[in-house]
Amino acid sequence: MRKKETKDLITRRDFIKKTAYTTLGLSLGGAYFDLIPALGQEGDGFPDLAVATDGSPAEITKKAIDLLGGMKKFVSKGDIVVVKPNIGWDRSPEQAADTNPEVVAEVVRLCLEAGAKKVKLFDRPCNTASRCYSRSGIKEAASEAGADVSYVVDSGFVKTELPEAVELKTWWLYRPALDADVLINVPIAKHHGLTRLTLGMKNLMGIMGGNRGQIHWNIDQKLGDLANYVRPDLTILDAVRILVRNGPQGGNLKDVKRIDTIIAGQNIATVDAYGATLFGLKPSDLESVKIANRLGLGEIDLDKIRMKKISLS
Amino acid sequence: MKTLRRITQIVFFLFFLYLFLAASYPLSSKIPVDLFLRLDPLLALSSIISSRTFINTFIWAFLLLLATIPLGRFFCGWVCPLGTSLDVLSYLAKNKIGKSVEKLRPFKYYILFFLLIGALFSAQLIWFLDPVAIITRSLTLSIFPMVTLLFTAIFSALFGLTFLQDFLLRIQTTLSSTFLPETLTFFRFSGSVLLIFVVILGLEFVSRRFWCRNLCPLGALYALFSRYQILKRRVSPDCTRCGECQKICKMDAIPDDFRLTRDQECILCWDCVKDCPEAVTSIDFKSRKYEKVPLPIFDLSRRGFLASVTLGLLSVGVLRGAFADKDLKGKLIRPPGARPEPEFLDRCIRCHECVRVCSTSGRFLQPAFLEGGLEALWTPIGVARYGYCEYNCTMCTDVCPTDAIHKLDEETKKKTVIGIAFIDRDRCIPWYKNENCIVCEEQCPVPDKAIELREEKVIHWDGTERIVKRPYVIENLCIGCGICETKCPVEGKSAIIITPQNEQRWID
Repeated sequence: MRKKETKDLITRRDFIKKTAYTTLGLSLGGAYFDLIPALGQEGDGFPDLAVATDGSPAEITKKAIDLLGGMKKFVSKGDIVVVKPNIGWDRSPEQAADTNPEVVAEVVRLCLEAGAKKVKLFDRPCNTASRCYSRSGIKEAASEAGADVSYVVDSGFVKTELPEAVELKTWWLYRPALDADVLINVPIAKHHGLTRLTLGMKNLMGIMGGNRGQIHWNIDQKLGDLANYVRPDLTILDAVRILVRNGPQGGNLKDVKRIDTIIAGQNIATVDAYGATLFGLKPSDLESVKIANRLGLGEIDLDKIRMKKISLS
Repeated sequence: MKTLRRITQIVFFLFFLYLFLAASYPLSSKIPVDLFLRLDPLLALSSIISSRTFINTFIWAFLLLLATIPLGRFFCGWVCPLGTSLDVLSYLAKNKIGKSVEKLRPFKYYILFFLLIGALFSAQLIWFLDPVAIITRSLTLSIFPMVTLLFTAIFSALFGLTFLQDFLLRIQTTLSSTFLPETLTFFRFSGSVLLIFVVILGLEFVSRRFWCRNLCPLGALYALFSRYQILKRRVSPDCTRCGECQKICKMDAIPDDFRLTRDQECILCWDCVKDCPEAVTSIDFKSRKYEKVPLPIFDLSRRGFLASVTLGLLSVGVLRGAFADKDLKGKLIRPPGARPEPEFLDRCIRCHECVRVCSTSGRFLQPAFLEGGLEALWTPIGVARYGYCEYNCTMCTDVCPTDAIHKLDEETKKKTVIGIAFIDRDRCIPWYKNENCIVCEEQCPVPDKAIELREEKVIHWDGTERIVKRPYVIENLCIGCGICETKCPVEGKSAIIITPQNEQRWID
């Protein structure tokens, strides 16, 4: 594992370490607490959440990341980056069941521009992987952009203990995702029969092994536990096309709405909270978002989120 | 010529392997992956006789049969992938040539008659002993899965070495996008399929090409057609009768008068020409005067012939009566595009091309064992706990050489019902436990969802009131793809199962 050079940022691993210090600090009377930088620090001039609309998928992706401070803020020279899109279904981009390939490719390009040594890209799909990777257009687009696109393999899953978890105490997680210096979560915003929507938190299920169906029993808490452990460094929500009914795999073009929007943020709960509004819901309508907020995964009060919006039209 | 023959054999064998590997997602090969099966006149005859329709895909097989009339059994010596496997095995194991038991030799004809008579009365049995079907089937169900198992074992062992991971992932991704299945594939009772292949290989240690000399019905068919062959082994009068040719003939086609040849046994391997110490042997088209009267062509006995015909007739009774299971409706889920059951059985030659392509897609198809009686042994059935019928996939309908599974375009396939799902409310989490689950609904690929969730207010066992989302199957939307059964997170028996009810079969 490499040490991070930048000091003003918190990586996932640092966070886990610092959480431990915090606990220690609190038990010592709170004196240490002030030394711990909070997530999404005040005063660095950048917002918690960036929303870019009305441009080509690649343009608005770049714009949203620029608003957050640019990819260099998240990716340092020599980093191993994992980009985790949603490649769950054997569906075409127009059907809006998988992340938009142009968005994914742009994220890959930006990572490499920022100096990433390698960008790995994978997802554990529900349908046959080779079909999903091809039909979604992601394999082609991301490979062209320079990513190492691979299928998830069984031997890559390690049984992992999630120490802070309430429900999901141990599970098989994908090692290449855990070992990365930077994890970038690139979900697509869709309807879902159980969690109502699938956004950033649910997308992390793609690094889970085992009988994932069982995650659906008390899913919201489990998603919270997972996000709390994995803590992606950046979440970029693809809402170029959103699936408003019959998710998460759709199939009917009449269920797809084109809104040409990209939402990016460092905190997964904040991104998901805003994601809810795209479907006319309140952040508090999503149980998983409330749980994530309680776990310290980001502000979900729309009035308190420091947000920058831009339209490219 | 002997070297040329060996090279040709290897080339055809590699070509056969290539087509085997190409029978996988995305099925982009321009050459039909079932080419060897399509070129097999025995499969052609048998399935045409038993289904009583001309099957267009087999047209080239008859040309091959016509070519046999002047050229003899060149297929056996030069092309047959099973024959090549036997030659390679013998080469490696340094097997002795071995003498034939004269009484066994006509057996192949009896087997042929037996199979064709069976086919005439609509008991398709050719699949059991056709060499191309045997090798394709053994490769698909048994040998290839073992190779992938080995591959996976090595892969997993190496994956522990962190510095190799990226390299391994790249290899795995390339292989899985071409011909390897993504996860290990297991086929039920695949050992039973391999058994025939192993026995054939084993017989090679008794004598060279034991199978081809005595048992192979395709060889017998070719032998019948090579009665007037022009391309023949000929020996000039300068022969010193050293007998070397007889010792090395792997088909035992040279009788004690070494100048003669049992032409219908000769597979034109050119060994005797190459290794004749006096260089007096040739294989060519030229007729020569010094030839003696040919040997009796077929060493068949009337008794044997009658017995095989009788057995052929009996097989109908055995298959359709003694070992039948007529409860087909309840058990067998057939691939989309499958013809009505009797016609399906008349055509299916158990080559498992459909199973092979499916193993690189939804992994739905498996060989049947005795679920449909002996008659349906090893036919393709959908077993939803292993995999499901991939919504956008039509590959099994693309590769069937006998059209037992009719070709469907993607739109037709998506609407073709192969069964329907039933929820087992005693095992389904929202039904018996009053807790949300919805995996089946999430996985249902039908755009309007053939599984609907209804929010219901229920009273839990402890008296508390709850709201739970309960799944219902919408019968007129469900196509029976089985993904709900595959993905149902309940351990053991699935809480939602598909049955062939409502299935649509292909009718011309």
